Amino acid sequence: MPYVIHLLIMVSIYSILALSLNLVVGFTGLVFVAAAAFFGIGAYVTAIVMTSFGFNFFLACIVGALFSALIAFAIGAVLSKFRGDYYTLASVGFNIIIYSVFLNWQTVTRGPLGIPGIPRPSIFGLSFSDNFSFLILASLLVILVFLACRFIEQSSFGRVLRAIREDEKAVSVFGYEVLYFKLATFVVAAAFSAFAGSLYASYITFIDPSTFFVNESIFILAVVILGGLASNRGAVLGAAVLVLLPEALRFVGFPPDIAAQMRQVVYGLLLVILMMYRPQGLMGEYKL
Amino acid sequence: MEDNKPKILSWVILLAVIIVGGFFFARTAKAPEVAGPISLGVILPLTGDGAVYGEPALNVYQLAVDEINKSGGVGGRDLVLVVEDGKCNGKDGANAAQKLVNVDKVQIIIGGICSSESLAAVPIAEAGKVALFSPGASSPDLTGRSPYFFRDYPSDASQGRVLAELAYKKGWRTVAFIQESLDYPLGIFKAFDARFSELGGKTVKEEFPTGASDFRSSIAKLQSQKPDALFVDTQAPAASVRIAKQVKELKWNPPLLVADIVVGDPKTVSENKALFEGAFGAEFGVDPNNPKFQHLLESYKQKYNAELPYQAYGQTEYDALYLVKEGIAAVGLDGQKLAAWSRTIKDWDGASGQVTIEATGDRASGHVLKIVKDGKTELYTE
Repeated sequence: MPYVIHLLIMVSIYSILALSLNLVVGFTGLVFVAAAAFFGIGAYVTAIVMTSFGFNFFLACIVGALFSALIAFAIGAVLSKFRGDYYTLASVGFNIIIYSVFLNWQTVTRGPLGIPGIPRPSIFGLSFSDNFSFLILASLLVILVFLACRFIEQSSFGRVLRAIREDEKAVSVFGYEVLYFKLATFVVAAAFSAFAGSLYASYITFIDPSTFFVNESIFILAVVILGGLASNRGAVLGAAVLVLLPEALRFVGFPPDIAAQMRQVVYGLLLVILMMYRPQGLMGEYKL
Repeated sequence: MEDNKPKILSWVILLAVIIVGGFFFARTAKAPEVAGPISLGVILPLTGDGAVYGEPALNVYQLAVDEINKSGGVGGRDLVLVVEDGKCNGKDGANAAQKLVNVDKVQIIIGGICSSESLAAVPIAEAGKVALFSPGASSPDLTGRSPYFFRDYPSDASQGRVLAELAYKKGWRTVAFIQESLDYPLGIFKAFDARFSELGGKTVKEEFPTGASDFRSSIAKLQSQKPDALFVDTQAPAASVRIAKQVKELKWNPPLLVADIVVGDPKTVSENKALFEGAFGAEFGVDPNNPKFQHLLESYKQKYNAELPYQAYGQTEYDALYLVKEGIAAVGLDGQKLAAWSRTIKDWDGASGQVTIEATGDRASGHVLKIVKDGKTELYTE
């Protein structure tokens, strides 16, 4: 049972990441491959203010989200100059820059050594140190982010976003400032991703730069695409499948000397098959 | 959307199958047994960049397990390894540890090879009262982190202590440090300073930021305090070379102490023969004359038809299995007791030399003294 709780916590964290990336990729149609950067910023800011300045987790969470939003604002302004494939490549570049900062700004991030001993959340004497209560906290955050995403989706703002996805030029002809819409979505998504980072840092109690490299961004993007673009439920389902699948494969019973490699192979193969037979994702409305 | 409904349903079913399957396997996993084979958890990187360390490590573990089982196992019970991929990162290290602790219900985990895997696994092992024994993690952050954690690979900080003892024996009472402002060099200084003051010595220190290239004012300041020796403590060899050069330029010739990144780098030492002549350092190396180590090399070659790579790790990995065997024979298969027992390991003869585990869970010795002679690093014997 503790193992299942652990997996559900991981699913929650990736659900938040997928929900927020879905805002960018699913609704505005921008293929953004730097979700791990904001995930990392949230995790690092939380870890640093909690371990060095003794901040409470919830305060640290908010500081992380604000910080992440601020950086997203600056980066988003630059990235919005790019279109299509160039946008994707530029976002990869941004992820690498952030990763290098984590790795090399050693006086603050402790570089490759990482930050150990990050405390678990507690508020008003209520501690989330056992995994079950942490799961409740994480699920609450998933629900909050989910509702926020649905609200954005169903508002008039969300309708404009969808229109941007279908035809950016047409929307601007109607007098909408496309750039502002994209930027606002981007900033909100970055703040949500940072929440996931805070949860991760506090749950695992240790972070290092390798967790926030480009491959993690690709994984989060895969969650969104597999779950189905522009579908919030799809994002959560995608996170569940992609986090649980490799764990389930631990139990298949491959011979031990090739088990780890076979897990990767089967995992990859299943993803290929899924994309072949269901390119719009599990619950998606449209194809990339 | 209507057409999609049956499809969605089928996906939901697939998901349910996966989850239920996971539960099913989780249920069928064994509870701790009193007879039959003893399961040992193993966390190491088998995929990704870290796999270059993980693959040979698994080979060494398997080699040791085969040897132990051939000679009767532990109290007649065979050892089996439950191997999980930790991918050399915190997330997968935590996943692996959760599975080993809560599904396989192992009492002891050997791993991780990387510090990140180990740091993430510590709280999980502690919560499950499982002993965590790393033969490869060297981060000073792991020192004293948990009563359930121990390692037979020395902490990066242990070289500072070994050198402090040497310095005191040499009759030096004031040692000057020129140290880069980074964790690793700082760790060495802290360890040196703690041991040296304990013995009755004194350190004076000048720090410099990474990337600095002019050290003359720092050196002059240290020189004016008339220390008995100078410790050049940097993250990378290049900075050590620059400092040593400027020390010579200022016509100062103190006895030099350097970090393992200098003595362990044959290129730096041979290219800067004159600068580092007579400098002392401490390195965790292998002892080619140790019969157990020779045995490990030979049997590895025999079994896998290849030379043992990363021998400094191979020796501690090999020892880990034999230590676990002794531990289980001594106190039984119980994580809590094994963790307590680990602190009693003293002067145990293994392939990596004498192993002593301190109260902090760290290996006491391990770094051996080296001296630079004629552009080469040699073992230093007093």
